[in-house]
Amino acid sequence: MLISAPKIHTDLLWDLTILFSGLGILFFAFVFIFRNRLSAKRSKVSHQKKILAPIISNFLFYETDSTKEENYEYIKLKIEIRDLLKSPFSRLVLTEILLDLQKDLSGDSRNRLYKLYQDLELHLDAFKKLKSWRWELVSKGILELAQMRVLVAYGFIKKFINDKRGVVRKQAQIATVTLKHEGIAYFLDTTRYGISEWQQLKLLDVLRNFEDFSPPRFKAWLTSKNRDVVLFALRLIKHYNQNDANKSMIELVKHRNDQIKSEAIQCIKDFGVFEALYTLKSVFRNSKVDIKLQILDTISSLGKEEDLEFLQTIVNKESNFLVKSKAISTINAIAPETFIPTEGIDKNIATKNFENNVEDNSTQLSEVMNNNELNKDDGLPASDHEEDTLDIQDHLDPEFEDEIIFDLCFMEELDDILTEFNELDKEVDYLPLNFLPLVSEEEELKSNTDPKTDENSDVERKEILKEESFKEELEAILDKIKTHNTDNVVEGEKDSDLEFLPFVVETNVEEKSEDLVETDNENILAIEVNEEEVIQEEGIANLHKKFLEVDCLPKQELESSDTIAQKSMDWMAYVNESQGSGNNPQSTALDESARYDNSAGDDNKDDNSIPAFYGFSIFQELFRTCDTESKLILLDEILAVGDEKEVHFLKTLLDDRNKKVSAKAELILKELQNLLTPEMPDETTMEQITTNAQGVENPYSNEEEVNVISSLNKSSEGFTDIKEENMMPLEYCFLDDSTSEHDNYQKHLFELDFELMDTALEVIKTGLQLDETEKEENDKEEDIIFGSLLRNLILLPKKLKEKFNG
Amino acid sequence: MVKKNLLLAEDDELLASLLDYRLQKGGYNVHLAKDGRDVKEYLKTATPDIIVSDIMMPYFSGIELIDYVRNQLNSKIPIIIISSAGNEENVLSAFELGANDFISKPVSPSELLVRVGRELNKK
Repeated sequence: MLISAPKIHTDLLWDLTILFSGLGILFFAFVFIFRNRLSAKRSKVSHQKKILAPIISNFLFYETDSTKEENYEYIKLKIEIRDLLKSPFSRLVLTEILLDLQKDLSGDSRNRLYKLYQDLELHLDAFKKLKSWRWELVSKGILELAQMRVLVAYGFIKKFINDKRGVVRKQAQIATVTLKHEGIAYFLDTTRYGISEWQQLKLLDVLRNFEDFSPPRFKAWLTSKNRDVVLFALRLIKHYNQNDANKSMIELVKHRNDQIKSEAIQCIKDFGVFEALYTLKSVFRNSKVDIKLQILDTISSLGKEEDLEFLQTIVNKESNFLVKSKAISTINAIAPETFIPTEGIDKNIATKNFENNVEDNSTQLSEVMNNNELNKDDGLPASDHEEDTLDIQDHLDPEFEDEIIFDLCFMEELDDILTEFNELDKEVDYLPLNFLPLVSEEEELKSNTDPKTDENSDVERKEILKEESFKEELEAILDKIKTHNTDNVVEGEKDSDLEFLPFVVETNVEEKSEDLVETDNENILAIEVNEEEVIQEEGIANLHKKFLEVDCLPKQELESSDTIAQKSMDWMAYVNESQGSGNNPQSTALDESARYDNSAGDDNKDDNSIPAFYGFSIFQELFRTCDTESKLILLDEILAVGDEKEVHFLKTLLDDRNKKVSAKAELILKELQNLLTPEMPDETTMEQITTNAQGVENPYSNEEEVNVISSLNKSSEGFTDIKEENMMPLEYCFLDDSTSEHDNYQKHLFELDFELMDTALEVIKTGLQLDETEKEENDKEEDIIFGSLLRNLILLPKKLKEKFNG
Repeated sequence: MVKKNLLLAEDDELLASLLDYRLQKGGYNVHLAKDGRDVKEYLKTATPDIIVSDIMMPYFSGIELIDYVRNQLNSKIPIIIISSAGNEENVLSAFELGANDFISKPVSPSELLVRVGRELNKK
């Protein structure tokens, strides 16, 4: 079945088109005509204003003592304007001009304008408007008459005060008050409608702008049946300070309307009506919270001691927090300090007489510092510190209280940091801050290492406080930190040749620290310890110096030991830069190796305490965090890239709980050892070195050194042969790219130093006759210490910055 | 006696006409300018003895006029500002820029006449 299109009546469409087109045309024509009429009217008004403005000006500023010409002109204009006023349009324009001008003019000119308005009988038009049925015209008429101050209109306008139409009524109220001074009284007497807040403000504004206005006694309207009239009257009483209506106001406190009650209480307070207190107290109980607060506020300014009992009952019985709180403040206003703060006060703090402890705050603070130091040494718990500081805070001079409290808090934080360092010191004999670029601070550091200056600073710390005490203490503490650091660094600088020596842990630190506490003379001991260190390190330095002299490389090709040390420091700078610049994934390993190098200067004080150290395997850190599968993969990697450091690490893995790991570690260890065996130094050579070293009291004596060095040369040759394949120790593998600019010779040198360093350590270790088991144990300990130290060291600068920034 | 030239800048034509009439009657040659552009044009061709200007004007406010006269023309012509009530900030700005006096609306033409005379006498 075919679908046929619906039939369209084209005639109907045409009809609709014509219809809508016609409507459109009509609409546009209407808009066009309407706009034209408006613009024509506007231009006509503008033109009429231009004609009338000079006439009005002439009328306004006409003076009777004018010249004849001026008088003639004035009379001529008056005739002219009479003719113009015959036209309603001209009257309208003239009225508009006068209404506009009265806004911009003041003084005599305005009064003349009012007079002109009435002279020209323009007010008659306004009266006509009053008779209109349209409320807007009536309102406009009232406004016009009020603005032009047509006093005769007062009688007409006041009839509209109670008009049903709100706009007319409000306009009439304002006009009535505006036109005559007695208008306000009439309005308050007769008004039956409510008076809005806005209307009250407008009426008050009219009253305020009156000149020579003597306000009526508004207490007369406190008895009005119209609540708004009473309220407005109260406000007017307050505005005009009419304090002759006390009894009425007291009665109004009992009013059912809260607004009136509130206004009456406010008046009572402002006028100081003491006799109202009894009424206020009697109405208190049944009032709302706002009124209660207002009553209490009034009592606080008017009340006496007799009222305290009433207020006390409110405090005891009142459930509302605001009222209760206000009652307390009222009691304190009448009898100050009756209630003292109780919330959040620590009652355990024993308050001492401040005057008996008039000692200088600085002394107290220094005591705190000393206490903190003693506590730190004695290992007292932190709570003791806190109690001390709290006690002292009670005696602080309020002037410096904030500052000193801040100092104390800050000092506590710093103490925590120092405690951490001390804990580290108990495990390690120095604070390994060697990764910091301290080379440029040589002189400062040397001066800081002088124990006498430290001692002096300690003495001064006790003496100088108050405003600069904080700085002093901070510097002292920083010095202390530096002293740890510089002890190591300066030694490292003195024996810069040994910077590449490995990181060594001293085991007798605890004994030493105990001695320090016992003798209670830290500084003297520090000097002694430093001297011992210097002597020992000089021995090592000599050893190394000789060693370099007998180096296998030709002298002209070989850089001096200083240059090597400088190179090492360059690497340090690179490490620090790379650490500071961003998240270099290799930075951790690099950092470790850099520390490893620099820690060489911090060599052991006690030869017997030197543990075995074969280097730090980067796989060790990875093994801590990874799962079994990853460990197995890592073991494969160890075989691919590992060296002797990994051998020792693999040995530790043999005892791993996971059998898979231990089994594979064993396998990898064997393979790695096979790989490394041909290049490893001969056992016999090592034994010879050991026996040689045992034969003398001083292992660093010159003869022995020559033997040791000669054997080391052999071993170093072996190492260099190995490294020709790998070129660099594992921890520097990732530096290949960055070091590619150096030639092979430089690489060789660099590499040689590190490998020699290891072998030199081996010699020292064997000289100390440490058996294998001890070595392994020490290895494990070192690993643990190293791990925790590294973490702490990485976080240390950040922590310090945070603490210093508060 | 030579009449002083006064430039009156006021955008309200009725008030301008009224003040013009009063000032002329007070013995001044008044040049009326209904906005800032007129003022600028006039100042390019003539130098009045005193300027009476409304603060709020189209195109070129009274503040800008003072700035123009003091900083661009480097002239010390006395300037009296007419401002609306509650426009104290503008008045302060006008004084900072170098206005000599001000009168607030609603204006009393007689008061303005006195102030103009006083400023010219100072000169």
